[in-house]
Amino acid sequence: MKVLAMLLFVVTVVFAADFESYAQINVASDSINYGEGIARTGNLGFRMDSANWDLVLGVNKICRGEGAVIPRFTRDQLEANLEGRIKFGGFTVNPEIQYTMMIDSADVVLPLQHGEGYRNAAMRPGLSLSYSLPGVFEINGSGKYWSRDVTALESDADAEWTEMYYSGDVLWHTPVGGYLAVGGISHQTKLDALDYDQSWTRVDLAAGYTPIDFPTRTIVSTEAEYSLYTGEDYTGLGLPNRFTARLRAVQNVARNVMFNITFSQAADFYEDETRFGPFQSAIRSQYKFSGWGSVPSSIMVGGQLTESAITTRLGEVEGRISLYSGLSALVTGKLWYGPSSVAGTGGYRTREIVGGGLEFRMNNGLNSFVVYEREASNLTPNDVWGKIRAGVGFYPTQF
Amino acid sequence: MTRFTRLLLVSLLALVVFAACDGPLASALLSIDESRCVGCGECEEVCPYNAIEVIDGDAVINPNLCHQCNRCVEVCPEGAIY
Repeated sequence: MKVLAMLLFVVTVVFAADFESYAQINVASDSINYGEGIARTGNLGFRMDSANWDLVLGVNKICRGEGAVIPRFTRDQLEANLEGRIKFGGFTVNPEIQYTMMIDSADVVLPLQHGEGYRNAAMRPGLSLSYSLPGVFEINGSGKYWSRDVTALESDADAEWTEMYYSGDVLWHTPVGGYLAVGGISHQTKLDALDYDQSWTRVDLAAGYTPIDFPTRTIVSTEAEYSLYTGEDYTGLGLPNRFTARLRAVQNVARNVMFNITFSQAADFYEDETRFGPFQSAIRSQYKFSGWGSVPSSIMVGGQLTESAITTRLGEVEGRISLYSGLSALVTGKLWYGPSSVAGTGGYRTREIVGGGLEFRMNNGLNSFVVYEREASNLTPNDVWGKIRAGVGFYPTQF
Repeated sequence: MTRFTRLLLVSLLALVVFAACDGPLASALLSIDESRCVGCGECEEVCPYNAIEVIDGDAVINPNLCHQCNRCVEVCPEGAIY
Protein backbone atom coordinates (compact mmCIF):
# COMPACT_ATOMS: atom_id res chain seq x y z
CA MET A 1 0.00 0.00 0.00
CA LYS A 2 2.86 2.33 0.92
CA VAL A 3 4.57 1.56 -2.39
CA LEU A 4 1.34 2.31 -4.30
CA ALA A 5 0.90 5.61 -2.43
CA MET A 6 4.52 6.54 -3.13
CA LEU A 7 4.07 5.64 -6.81
CA LEU A 8 0.92 7.76 -7.02
CA PHE A 9 2.77 10.67 -5.39
CA VAL A 10 5.68 10.39 -7.83
CA VAL A 11 3.32 10.16 -10.84
CA THR A 12 1.37 13.21 -9.62
CA VAL A 13 4.58 15.22 -9.13
CA VAL A 14 5.97 14.22 -12.51
CA PHE A 15 2.76 15.05 -14.40
CA ALA A 16 2.54 18.42 -12.63
CA ALA A 17 6.03 19.36 -13.80
CA ASP A 18 7.48 20.80 -16.99
CA PHE A 19 10.54 19.23 -18.59
CA GLU A 20 13.39 20.86 -20.44
CA SER A 21 16.66 19.54 -21.70
CA TYR A 22 19.67 20.94 -23.49
CA ALA A 23 22.83 19.72 -25.16
CA GLN A 24 25.81 21.82 -26.08
CA ILE A 25 29.29 21.19 -27.50
CA ASN A 26 31.94 23.92 -27.62
CA VAL A 27 35.43 23.76 -29.02
CA ALA A 28 37.99 26.52 -28.53
CA SER A 29 41.59 26.59 -29.55
CA ASP A 30 43.67 28.71 -27.21
CA SER A 31 45.99 29.24 -30.14
CA ILE A 32 46.44 27.63 -33.49
CA ASN A 33 50.04 28.55 -34.09
CA TYR A 34 51.32 29.13 -30.60
CA GLY A 35 51.18 25.78 -28.83
CA GLU A 36 48.30 23.38 -28.88
CA GLY A 37 46.06 24.61 -26.12
CA ILE A 38 42.78 23.20 -27.30
CA ALA A 39 39.75 23.18 -25.02
CA ARG A 40 36.70 21.04 -25.62
CA THR A 41 33.60 21.18 -23.47
CA GLY A 42 30.38 19.24 -23.78
CA ASN A 43 27.29 19.80 -21.66
CA LEU A 44 24.12 17.78 -21.31
CA GLY A 45 21.32 18.95 -19.08
CA PHE A 46 17.89 17.98 -17.93
CA ARG A 47 15.53 20.18 -15.99
CA MET A 48 12.21 19.42 -14.36
CA ASP A 49 10.31 22.28 -12.78
CA SER A 50 7.01 23.20 -11.29
CA ALA A 51 5.60 26.29 -9.58
CA ASN A 52 7.35 25.66 -6.25
CA TRP A 53 10.30 23.48 -7.06
CA ASP A 54 12.81 22.54 -9.73
CA LEU A 55 15.42 19.87 -10.23
CA VAL A 56 18.39 20.25 -12.57
CA LEU A 57 20.82 17.56 -13.63
CA GLY A 58 23.83 18.65 -15.65
CA VAL A 59 26.72 16.58 -16.99
CA ASN A 60 29.78 18.41 -18.28
CA LYS A 61 32.79 16.94 -20.06
CA ILE A 62 35.77 19.29 -19.97
CA CYS A 63 39.03 18.61 -21.76
CA ARG A 64 41.80 21.19 -21.89
CA GLY A 65 45.29 20.90 -23.30
CA GLU A 66 48.35 22.28 -21.58
CA GLY A 67 50.27 23.93 -24.40
CA ALA A 68 48.47 27.25 -24.33
CA VAL A 69 50.10 30.65 -24.14
CA ILE A 70 49.22 30.90 -20.45
CA PRO A 71 50.59 27.77 -18.77
CA ARG A 72 47.58 25.62 -18.06
CA PHE A 73 47.46 22.24 -16.43
CA THR A 74 45.96 19.42 -18.42
CA ARG A 75 42.43 18.75 -17.33
CA ASP A 76 40.21 16.00 -18.61
CA GLN A 77 37.21 15.50 -16.43
CA LEU A 78 33.58 14.51 -16.24
CA GLU A 79 31.46 16.60 -13.92
CA ALA A 80 27.92 15.84 -12.75
CA ASN A 81 25.75 18.38 -10.92
CA LEU A 82 22.41 17.65 -9.32
CA GLU A 83 20.64 20.69 -7.94
CA GLY A 84 17.20 21.14 -6.45
CA ARG A 85 15.28 24.22 -5.42
CA ILE A 86 12.17 24.27 -3.26
CA LYS A 87 10.24 27.51 -2.66
CA PHE A 88 7.53 28.16 -0.12
CA GLY A 89 6.49 31.70 0.73
CA GLY A 90 9.63 33.79 0.88
CA PHE A 91 11.81 30.77 1.74
CA THR A 92 14.06 28.98 -0.74
CA VAL A 93 15.94 25.77 0.04
CA ASN A 94 18.61 24.80 -2.47
CA PRO A 95 20.43 21.47 -1.95
CA GLU A 96 23.07 20.45 -4.49
CA ILE A 97 25.75 17.86 -5.06
CA GLN A 98 28.61 17.88 -7.55
CA TYR A 99 30.80 14.92 -8.44
CA THR A 100 33.95 15.34 -10.50
CA MET A 101 35.68 12.36 -12.02
CA MET A 102 39.14 13.01 -13.41
CA ILE A 103 39.77 11.05 -16.58
CA ASP A 104 43.28 12.46 -16.79
CA SER A 105 44.47 13.81 -13.43
CA ALA A 106 45.00 17.55 -13.07
CA ASP A 107 48.15 18.88 -11.44
CA VAL A 108 48.17 21.07 -8.37
CA VAL A 109 50.89 22.70 -6.26
CA LEU A 110 50.51 21.35 -2.72
CA PRO A 111 50.75 23.79 0.18
CA LEU A 112 53.73 24.09 2.57
CA GLN A 113 56.26 23.28 -0.17
CA HIS A 114 55.17 19.66 -0.44
CA GLY A 115 55.77 19.76 -4.19
CA GLU A 116 53.21 18.93 -6.82
CA GLY A 117 50.34 16.52 -6.71
CA TYR A 118 47.58 15.12 -8.85
CA ARG A 119 43.92 15.87 -8.35
CA ASN A 120 41.76 12.78 -8.77
CA ALA A 121 38.03 12.53 -8.01
CA ALA A 122 36.14 15.14 -6.01
CA MET A 123 32.75 15.39 -4.32
CA ARG A 124 31.05 18.62 -3.28
CA PRO A 125 27.71 18.60 -1.48
CA GLY A 126 26.15 21.95 -0.56
CA LEU A 127 23.06 23.54 0.88
CA SER A 128 21.77 27.11 0.54
CA LEU A 129 18.87 28.69 2.40
CA SER A 130 17.36 32.10 1.81
CA TYR A 131 14.43 34.17 2.93
CA SER A 132 13.32 37.32 1.21
CA LEU A 133 10.72 39.92 2.04
CA PRO A 134 10.88 41.96 -1.20
CA GLY A 135 11.94 45.56 -0.67
CA VAL A 136 12.48 45.08 3.08
CA PHE A 137 15.13 42.51 3.86
CA GLU A 138 16.93 39.40 2.59
CA ILE A 139 18.70 36.63 4.49
CA ASN A 140 21.01 34.17 2.76
CA GLY A 141 23.05 31.28 4.12
CA SER A 142 25.16 28.74 2.30
CA GLY A 143 27.46 25.86 3.18
CA LYS A 144 29.65 23.66 1.00
CA TYR A 145 32.07 20.83 1.62
CA TRP A 146 34.75 19.71 -0.82
CA SER A 147 36.39 16.33 -0.59
CA ARG A 148 39.17 15.75 -3.13
CA ASP A 149 41.45 12.80 -3.59
CA VAL A 150 44.99 14.02 -4.18
CA THR A 151 48.17 12.06 -4.82
CA ALA A 152 51.48 13.68 -3.87
CA LEU A 153 53.91 13.40 -6.77
CA GLU A 154 57.12 12.93 -4.76
CA SER A 155 55.93 10.39 -2.20
CA ASP A 156 53.08 8.89 -4.27
CA ALA A 157 51.07 9.12 -1.04
CA ASP A 158 47.32 9.65 -1.20
CA ALA A 159 45.88 12.60 0.69
CA GLU A 160 42.39 13.90 1.21
CA TRP A 161 42.08 17.62 0.45
CA THR A 162 38.96 18.90 2.18
CA GLU A 163 37.46 22.35 2.37
CA MET A 164 34.57 23.68 4.44
CA TYR A 165 32.88 26.88 3.27
CA TYR A 166 30.13 28.81 5.04
CA SER A 167 28.73 32.15 4.00
CA GLY A 168 25.80 34.23 5.10
CA ASP A 169 24.42 37.73 4.87
CA VAL A 170 21.53 39.84 6.02
CA LEU A 171 20.51 42.87 3.97
CA TRP A 172 18.02 45.51 5.08
CA HIS A 173 16.56 48.01 2.60
CA THR A 174 16.16 51.13 4.72
CA PRO A 175 13.10 53.37 4.23
CA VAL A 176 15.35 56.30 3.15
CA GLY A 177 16.52 54.56 -0.03
CA GLY A 178 19.71 52.85 1.09
CA TYR A 179 20.65 49.53 2.56
CA LEU A 180 22.65 48.10 5.43
CA ALA A 181 24.22 44.66 5.17
CA VAL A 182 26.17 42.30 7.37
CA GLY A 183 27.77 39.24 5.83
CA GLY A 184 30.56 36.82 6.30
CA ILE A 185 32.58 33.92 4.96
CA SER A 186 34.38 31.16 6.81
CA HIS A 187 36.69 28.85 4.88
CA GLN A 188 38.85 25.98 6.14
CA THR A 189 41.34 23.97 4.07
CA LYS A 190 42.76 20.67 5.41
CA LEU A 191 45.21 18.09 4.11
CA ASP A 192 45.57 15.58 6.92
CA ALA A 193 48.40 13.59 5.37
CA LEU A 194 50.49 16.76 4.90
CA ASP A 195 49.57 18.21 8.30
CA TYR A 196 48.04 21.32 6.68
CA ASP A 197 45.10 23.01 8.38
CA GLN A 198 44.46 26.67 7.59
CA SER A 199 41.36 28.79 7.74
CA TRP A 200 40.34 32.35 7.05
CA THR A 201 37.23 34.34 7.81
CA ARG A 202 35.82 37.58 6.54
CA VAL A 203 33.06 39.70 8.09
CA ASP A 204 31.63 42.45 5.86
CA LEU A 205 29.78 45.49 7.11
CA ALA A 206 28.33 47.43 4.21
CA ALA A 207 26.12 50.47 3.73
CA GLY A 208 24.81 51.66 0.40
CA TYR A 209 22.79 54.66 -0.68
CA THR A 210 21.00 55.40 -3.93
CA PRO A 211 19.81 59.02 -4.18
CA ILE A 212 16.72 59.32 -6.30
CA ASP A 213 16.71 63.08 -6.91
CA PHE A 214 19.05 63.02 -9.91
CA PRO A 215 17.86 63.83 -13.44
CA THR A 216 15.55 61.35 -15.07
CA ARG A 217 17.06 58.07 -16.23
CA THR A 218 20.14 58.52 -13.99
CA ILE A 219 20.89 56.21 -11.09
CA VAL A 220 23.83 56.95 -8.80
CA SER A 221 24.66 54.59 -5.99
CA THR A 222 27.40 54.75 -3.38
CA GLU A 223 28.61 51.97 -1.16
CA ALA A 224 31.06 51.73 1.72
CA GLU A 225 32.20 48.34 2.99
CA TYR A 226 34.51 47.31 5.80
CA SER A 227 35.82 43.74 5.73
CA LEU A 228 37.45 42.23 8.81
CA TYR A 229 39.75 39.35 7.93
CA THR A 230 41.30 36.72 10.15
CA GLY A 231 43.87 34.23 8.92
CA GLU A 232 47.24 34.27 7.21
CA ASP A 233 48.50 34.36 3.66
CA TYR A 234 50.83 31.62 2.33
CA THR A 235 53.90 33.38 3.81
CA GLY A 236 52.39 33.50 7.32
CA LEU A 237 51.62 37.24 7.18
CA GLY A 238 48.28 38.24 8.75
CA LEU A 239 45.54 39.21 6.31
CA PRO A 240 44.71 42.93 6.32
CA ASN A 241 41.29 44.40 7.01
CA ARG A 242 39.92 46.24 3.98
CA PHE A 243 37.81 49.35 3.55
CA THR A 244 36.26 49.81 0.12
CA ALA A 245 34.34 52.78 -1.25
CA ARG A 246 32.37 52.37 -4.47
CA LEU A 247 30.48 54.74 -6.74
CA ARG A 248 28.31 53.58 -9.63
CA ALA A 249 26.38 55.72 -12.08
CA VAL A 250 24.02 54.42 -14.75
CA GLN A 251 22.75 56.88 -17.30
CA ASN A 252 20.16 55.93 -19.91
CA VAL A 253 20.79 58.67 -22.46
CA ALA A 254 17.97 57.31 -24.58
CA ARG A 255 15.81 54.20 -24.43
CA ASN A 256 18.47 52.20 -26.31
CA VAL A 257 21.71 53.90 -25.17
CA MET A 258 23.15 53.28 -21.72
CA PHE A 259 26.32 54.38 -19.92
CA ASN A 260 27.59 52.58 -16.82
CA ILE A 261 30.43 54.17 -14.86
CA THR A 262 32.07 52.70 -11.75
CA PHE A 263 34.82 53.85 -9.39
CA SER A 264 36.12 51.91 -6.44
CA GLN A 265 39.06 52.39 -4.09
CA ALA A 266 40.15 50.20 -1.22
CA ALA A 267 42.49 50.74 1.72
CA ASP A 268 44.10 47.78 3.48
CA PHE A 269 44.94 47.91 7.18
CA TYR A 270 47.91 45.74 8.08
CA GLU A 271 49.16 45.46 11.67
CA ASP A 272 51.71 48.26 11.37
CA GLU A 273 50.73 50.18 8.23
CA THR A 274 47.90 51.18 5.95
CA ARG A 275 48.32 50.50 2.25
CA PHE A 276 46.38 51.44 -0.83
CA GLY A 277 44.17 48.56 -1.87
CA PRO A 278 42.87 47.96 -5.38
CA PHE A 279 41.54 50.91 -7.37
CA GLN A 280 39.14 50.41 -10.26
CA SER A 281 37.65 52.84 -12.73
CA ALA A 282 35.47 51.55 -15.55
CA ILE A 283 33.05 52.78 -18.16
CA ARG A 284 30.76 50.75 -20.39
CA SER A 285 28.28 52.01 -22.95
CA GLN A 286 25.76 49.90 -24.79
CA TYR A 287 23.72 50.70 -27.86
CA LYS A 288 20.78 48.42 -28.64
CA PHE A 289 19.05 48.31 -32.00
CA SER A 290 16.81 45.95 -33.95
CA GLY A 291 19.07 45.12 -36.92
CA TRP A 292 17.69 43.35 -39.99
CA GLY A 293 16.85 39.91 -38.58
CA SER A 294 14.87 38.48 -35.69
CA VAL A 295 17.61 38.57 -33.02
CA PRO A 296 18.14 41.78 -30.95
CA SER A 297 21.35 43.60 -31.86
CA SER A 298 23.71 45.48 -29.57
CA ILE A 299 27.16 47.03 -29.51
CA MET A 300 29.11 47.48 -26.27
CA VAL A 301 32.17 49.70 -25.92
CA GLY A 302 34.01 49.74 -22.64
CA GLY A 303 37.23 50.55 -20.84
CA GLN A 304 38.74 49.83 -17.44
CA LEU A 305 41.78 50.87 -15.43
CA THR A 306 42.82 49.07 -12.26
CA GLU A 307 45.73 49.70 -9.89
CA SER A 308 46.83 47.54 -6.99
CA ALA A 309 50.17 45.77 -6.63
CA ILE A 310 49.59 45.26 -10.37
CA THR A 311 48.19 47.47 -13.11
CA THR A 312 45.68 46.45 -15.78
CA ARG A 313 44.19 48.46 -18.63
CA LEU A 314 41.38 47.18 -20.80
CA GLY A 315 39.57 48.56 -23.83
CA GLU A 316 36.91 46.42 -25.45
CA VAL A 317 34.28 46.34 -28.17
CA GLU A 318 31.70 43.59 -28.48
CA GLY A 319 28.78 43.42 -30.82
CA ARG A 320 26.01 41.26 -32.22
CA ILE A 321 24.45 42.59 -35.40
CA SER A 322 21.35 40.79 -36.63
CA LEU A 323 21.64 40.25 -40.38
CA TYR A 324 18.79 38.04 -41.56
CA SER A 325 16.28 35.92 -39.65
CA GLY A 326 18.33 34.12 -36.93
CA LEU A 327 21.70 34.91 -38.54
CA SER A 328 23.88 37.47 -36.75
CA ALA A 329 27.38 38.81 -37.20
CA LEU A 330 29.58 38.78 -34.08
CA VAL A 331 32.30 41.38 -33.61
CA THR A 332 34.93 41.39 -30.88
CA GLY A 333 37.93 43.58 -30.13
CA LYS A 334 40.07 43.88 -27.04
CA LEU A 335 43.18 45.82 -26.08
CA TRP A 336 44.57 44.61 -22.75
CA TYR A 337 47.66 45.44 -20.71
CA GLY A 338 48.44 43.53 -17.56
CA PRO A 339 50.64 41.10 -15.67
CA SER A 340 52.26 38.28 -17.59
CA SER A 341 53.19 34.79 -16.47
CA VAL A 342 54.84 34.06 -19.82
CA ALA A 343 58.63 33.85 -19.58
CA GLY A 344 60.57 36.63 -21.29
CA THR A 345 57.83 39.25 -21.23
CA GLY A 346 59.23 41.26 -18.34
CA GLY A 347 56.28 40.86 -16.01
CA TYR A 348 53.79 42.73 -18.20
CA ARG A 349 52.46 42.30 -21.70
CA THR A 350 49.85 43.67 -24.03
CA ARG A 351 47.21 41.72 -25.91
CA GLU A 352 45.48 43.01 -29.02
CA ILE A 353 42.54 40.86 -30.08
CA VAL A 354 40.41 41.48 -33.15
CA GLY A 355 37.84 38.99 -34.31
CA GLY A 356 34.57 38.30 -35.96
CA GLY A 357 32.20 35.48 -36.63
CA LEU A 358 28.68 34.31 -37.26
CA GLU A 359 25.92 33.02 -35.03
CA PHE A 360 22.80 31.23 -36.19
CA ARG A 361 19.77 30.70 -33.98
CA MET A 362 17.03 28.46 -35.37
CA ASN A 363 13.44 28.42 -34.20
CA ASN A 364 13.69 24.77 -33.18
CA GLY A 365 16.26 25.67 -30.50
CA LEU A 366 19.42 24.85 -32.43
CA ASN A 367 22.11 27.52 -31.92
CA SER A 368 25.55 27.53 -33.49
CA PHE A 369 28.43 29.98 -33.67
CA VAL A 370 31.96 30.28 -34.99
CA VAL A 371 34.36 33.11 -34.15
CA TYR A 372 37.87 33.67 -35.48
CA GLU A 373 40.15 35.93 -33.49
CA ARG A 374 43.59 37.26 -34.30
CA GLU A 375 45.69 37.93 -31.24
CA ALA A 376 48.96 39.80 -30.99
CA SER A 377 51.11 40.02 -27.91
CA ASN A 378 54.71 40.92 -27.10
CA LEU A 379 55.90 37.32 -26.99
CA THR A 380 58.83 35.73 -28.80
CA PRO A 381 59.19 34.05 -31.23
CA ASN A 382 55.49 33.93 -32.13
CA ASP A 383 53.83 37.22 -31.44
CA VAL A 384 50.74 36.91 -33.64
CA TRP A 385 48.41 33.93 -33.81
CA GLY A 386 44.85 32.95 -34.55
CA LYS A 387 42.19 31.43 -32.37
CA ILE A 388 38.94 29.74 -33.26
CA ARG A 389 35.94 29.28 -31.00
CA ALA A 390 32.97 27.32 -32.24
CA GLY A 391 29.98 25.66 -30.69
CA VAL A 392 26.64 24.08 -31.31
CA GLY A 393 23.84 23.85 -28.79
CA PHE A 394 20.37 22.39 -28.80
CA TYR A 395 17.82 23.92 -26.45
CA PRO A 396 14.46 22.31 -27.20
CA THR A 397 11.33 23.98 -25.99
CA GLN A 398 9.43 22.46 -23.10
CA PHE A 399 7.93 19.03 -23.58
CA MET B 1 20.19 66.10 6.60
CA THR B 2 19.76 66.29 2.82
CA ARG B 3 20.77 63.48 0.52
CA PHE B 4 23.55 65.65 -0.89
CA THR B 5 24.96 66.23 2.63
CA ARG B 6 24.94 62.49 3.31
CA LEU B 7 26.81 61.84 0.06
CA LEU B 8 29.34 64.55 0.95
CA LEU B 9 29.92 63.08 4.42
CA VAL B 10 30.51 59.58 3.02
CA SER B 11 32.94 61.01 0.44
CA LEU B 12 34.83 62.94 3.14
CA LEU B 13 35.06 59.81 5.30
CA ALA B 14 36.51 57.89 2.34
CA LEU B 15 39.04 60.71 1.70
CA VAL B 16 40.20 60.64 5.34
CA VAL B 17 40.74 56.86 5.18
CA PHE B 18 42.68 57.04 1.91
CA ALA B 19 44.78 59.99 3.12
CA ALA B 20 46.05 57.71 5.90
CA CYS B 21 47.50 55.23 3.39
CA ASP B 22 51.28 54.89 3.41
CA GLY B 23 52.76 56.36 0.25
CA PRO B 24 52.91 54.31 -2.90
CA LEU B 25 52.66 50.93 -1.13
CA ALA B 26 50.00 48.75 -2.66
CA SER B 27 48.39 45.74 -1.06
CA ALA B 28 48.90 42.38 -2.75
CA LEU B 29 45.50 41.03 -1.70
CA LEU B 30 43.57 40.71 -4.97
CA SER B 31 40.03 41.92 -5.41
CA ILE B 32 37.15 40.47 -7.43
CA ASP B 33 34.48 42.68 -8.94
CA GLU B 34 31.39 40.51 -8.49
CA SER B 35 29.38 42.73 -10.83
CA ARG B 36 31.75 41.80 -13.70
CA CYS B 37 32.45 38.14 -12.79
CA VAL B 38 30.39 35.77 -14.94
CA GLY B 39 31.55 32.57 -13.18
CA CYS B 40 33.17 31.12 -16.33
CA GLY B 41 35.84 29.27 -14.28
CA GLU B 42 38.85 30.29 -16.42
CA CYS B 43 40.59 31.49 -13.24
CA GLU B 44 40.00 28.15 -11.51
CA GLU B 45 41.58 26.34 -14.43
CA VAL B 46 44.87 28.23 -14.45
CA CYS B 47 45.43 28.55 -10.71
CA PRO B 48 48.25 26.11 -9.85
CA TYR B 49 47.49 26.38 -6.11
CA ASN B 50 43.77 25.54 -6.15
CA ALA B 51 43.33 28.97 -4.56
CA ILE B 52 40.29 30.18 -6.48
CA GLU B 53 36.86 28.59 -6.79
CA VAL B 54 33.64 29.65 -8.44
CA ILE B 55 31.10 29.51 -5.61
CA ASP B 56 27.44 30.33 -6.25
CA GLY B 57 28.35 31.99 -9.56
CA ASP B 58 31.22 34.20 -8.39
CA ALA B 59 34.94 33.55 -8.08
CA VAL B 60 36.22 33.47 -4.48
CA ILE B 61 39.96 33.69 -3.73
CA ASN B 62 41.33 31.63 -0.84
CA PRO B 63 43.94 34.04 0.63
CA ASN B 64 45.57 31.17 2.58
CA LEU B 65 46.64 29.53 -0.67
CA CYS B 66 46.97 32.44 -3.14
CA HIS B 67 50.63 33.04 -4.15
CA GLN B 68 49.82 36.26 -6.09
CA CYS B 69 51.10 34.72 -9.34
CA ASN B 70 48.36 36.75 -11.12
CA ARG B 71 47.57 34.09 -13.72
CA CYS B 72 43.89 34.53 -12.88
CA VAL B 73 44.21 38.26 -13.63
CA GLU B 74 45.83 37.40 -16.96
CA VAL B 75 43.12 35.02 -18.18
CA CYS B 76 39.94 36.60 -16.81
CA PRO B 77 37.97 37.54 -19.95
CA GLU B 78 35.94 40.17 -18.06
CA GLY B 79 38.80 41.94 -16.28
CA ALA B 80 37.05 41.17 -12.99
CA ILE B 81 40.19 40.33 -10.95
CA TYR B 82 42.69 43.06 -10.04
